[in-house]
Amino acid sequence: MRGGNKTDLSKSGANVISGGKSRKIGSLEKGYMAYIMIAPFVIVFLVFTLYSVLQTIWLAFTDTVLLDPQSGNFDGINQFQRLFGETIFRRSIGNTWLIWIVNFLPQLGVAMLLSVWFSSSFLRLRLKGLWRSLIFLPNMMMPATVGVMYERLFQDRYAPANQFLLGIRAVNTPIEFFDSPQFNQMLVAYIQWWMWYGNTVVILVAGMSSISVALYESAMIDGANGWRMFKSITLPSLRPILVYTLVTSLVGGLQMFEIPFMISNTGGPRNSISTMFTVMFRKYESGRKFIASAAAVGVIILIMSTIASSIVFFLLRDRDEIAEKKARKIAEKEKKLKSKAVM
Amino acid sequence: MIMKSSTALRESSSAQLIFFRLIIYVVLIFLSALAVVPIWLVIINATRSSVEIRTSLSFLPSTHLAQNWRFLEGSGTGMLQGYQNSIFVSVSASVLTVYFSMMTAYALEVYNFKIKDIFRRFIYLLVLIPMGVSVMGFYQYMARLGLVNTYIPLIIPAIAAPPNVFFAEQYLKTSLVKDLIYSARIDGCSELGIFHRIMLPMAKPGIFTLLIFQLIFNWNSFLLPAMIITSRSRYTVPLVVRQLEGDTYRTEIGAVFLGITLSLFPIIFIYTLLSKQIVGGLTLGALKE
Repeated sequence: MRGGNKTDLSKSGANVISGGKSRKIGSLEKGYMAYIMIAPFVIVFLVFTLYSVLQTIWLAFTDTVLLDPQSGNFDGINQFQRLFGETIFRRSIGNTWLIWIVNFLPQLGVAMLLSVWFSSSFLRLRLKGLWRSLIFLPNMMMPATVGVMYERLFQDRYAPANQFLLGIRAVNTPIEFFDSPQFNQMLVAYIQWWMWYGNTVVILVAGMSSISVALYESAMIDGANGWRMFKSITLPSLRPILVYTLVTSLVGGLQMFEIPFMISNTGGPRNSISTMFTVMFRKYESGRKFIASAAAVGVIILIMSTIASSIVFFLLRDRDEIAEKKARKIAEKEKKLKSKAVM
Repeated sequence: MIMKSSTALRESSSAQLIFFRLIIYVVLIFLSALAVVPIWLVIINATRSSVEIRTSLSFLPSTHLAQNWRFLEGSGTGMLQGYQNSIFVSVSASVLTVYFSMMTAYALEVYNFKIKDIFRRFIYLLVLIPMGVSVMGFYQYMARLGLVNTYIPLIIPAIAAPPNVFFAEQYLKTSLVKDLIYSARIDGCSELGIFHRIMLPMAKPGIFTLLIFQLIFNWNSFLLPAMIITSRSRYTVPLVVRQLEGDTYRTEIGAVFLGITLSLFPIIFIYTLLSKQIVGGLTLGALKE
């Protein structure tokens, strides 16, 4: 590869001398080098990633059971039909969405509030870096460990959470937290919130810092109050970032796995914290390894997140921009027609 | 006029402002406590005996660290081995993904080639697709290749990581000085030589940030190792932590907390040293509308 480069280099050198203008080197021709450089990515992507996706989709339409050599035949959509017949799977869809929404709304709300505070030139808060570092810390923690950690903090009558509640006399008798399905769900939602709102704050602050201060100044002269400025300047300017946050959180949320799985690898009381992803993993781990059924769950998650993110993109698209584009197109057409008419 | 009105505004509401600030600080202290207290409790409990943990709450360390460690290692959890394995896997995967993501992004930034735009859009699209859902096919494929219980499936796929290429590209867009590339060419430097000797040193801050994030990401990774790695001696740290949920540790809760602490320790250590770069790096390059 190296030798080949050298010979080509002399060619480009000639270009520099004869071609003169920097455009030749400036446009950085040498397209073949690009192919060499993206080759590792493309090869690994095709061989590992793409093949795995196709293999998963294929698996979902077979009756493969990993420890059953007789299996592996085409099975149509039976896996999907069977899945939707399972109470646990149907419940896991609801759980996943419920836990995600209960975590996301406060996540966005708190993050919005904090980032307005952090970027306000009016409040001039101190130690911003410290606060941000502290609330971002949970995002870096190992999710598997965080699950175990919270499980142990609330585990039983003698767990630290009970000692705390007894200590401040909030309760008289210790609580068996994990007996309650609602508690399980809310704890998972809380942990997701705990791990992710700091991340959202950092992203929103970066977005807000790119909004021109002049906009706020002129609004202030016009006598707009804080809420009004937030609604008509901050929110519209943040739209792309909000779409990004919403979509990444959604796609990640539909794959919620480590936290609920570490709190209970059987799905908690009445399967309250069985998420789609934990159901998938349990199908794979259980008995004879029902990998085809697990793959079908994966395909459903894929379809669901594609549809959901498309809906988000559609609902939060920039209507003004689209209208503007349309108007411009129409204007151009008219121009063309006119110029033709003149001719 | 502007000055007047804004100073007037400030003066009239200065008492209000102080009060408002106070509330904000209280909220910030509360949220910081929410973030730190659970982790702090776990670290403290790693130094306490199981009896102590089950009878009282404490924010100060005790003296049973060595005892908990003896139980943790004595029960064959293999935390030290897990550390070795995790370091090997996360360093290899992270270095590979940073190097090849930078290379791919460099190609996209610097050269003109036919499929450039399609390729770029394709990568942007891939960022949004949840790759986690393809683990079942991945596992079966690896089983067929005889790669189950090896580290290859955990390391090699890192070469093709669309989100990292996206990050690298956004970063290079703002930091790459193209003139240097031109002059290096005139000086007779090879194309790969330019990438290695000029681009990589120039993009150090971006590379550093990406590397830190990837190290943490790979250190934390649970799903793939849980499927691929089957023998205990090859367990990575998250798999070791998973064992702590087993029956052996029902009563030895001090050892469990020590295990949790050890799995978090490297991250807390790195984060304490580099929190500024990490928090700042999250939006470095990315999200430039």
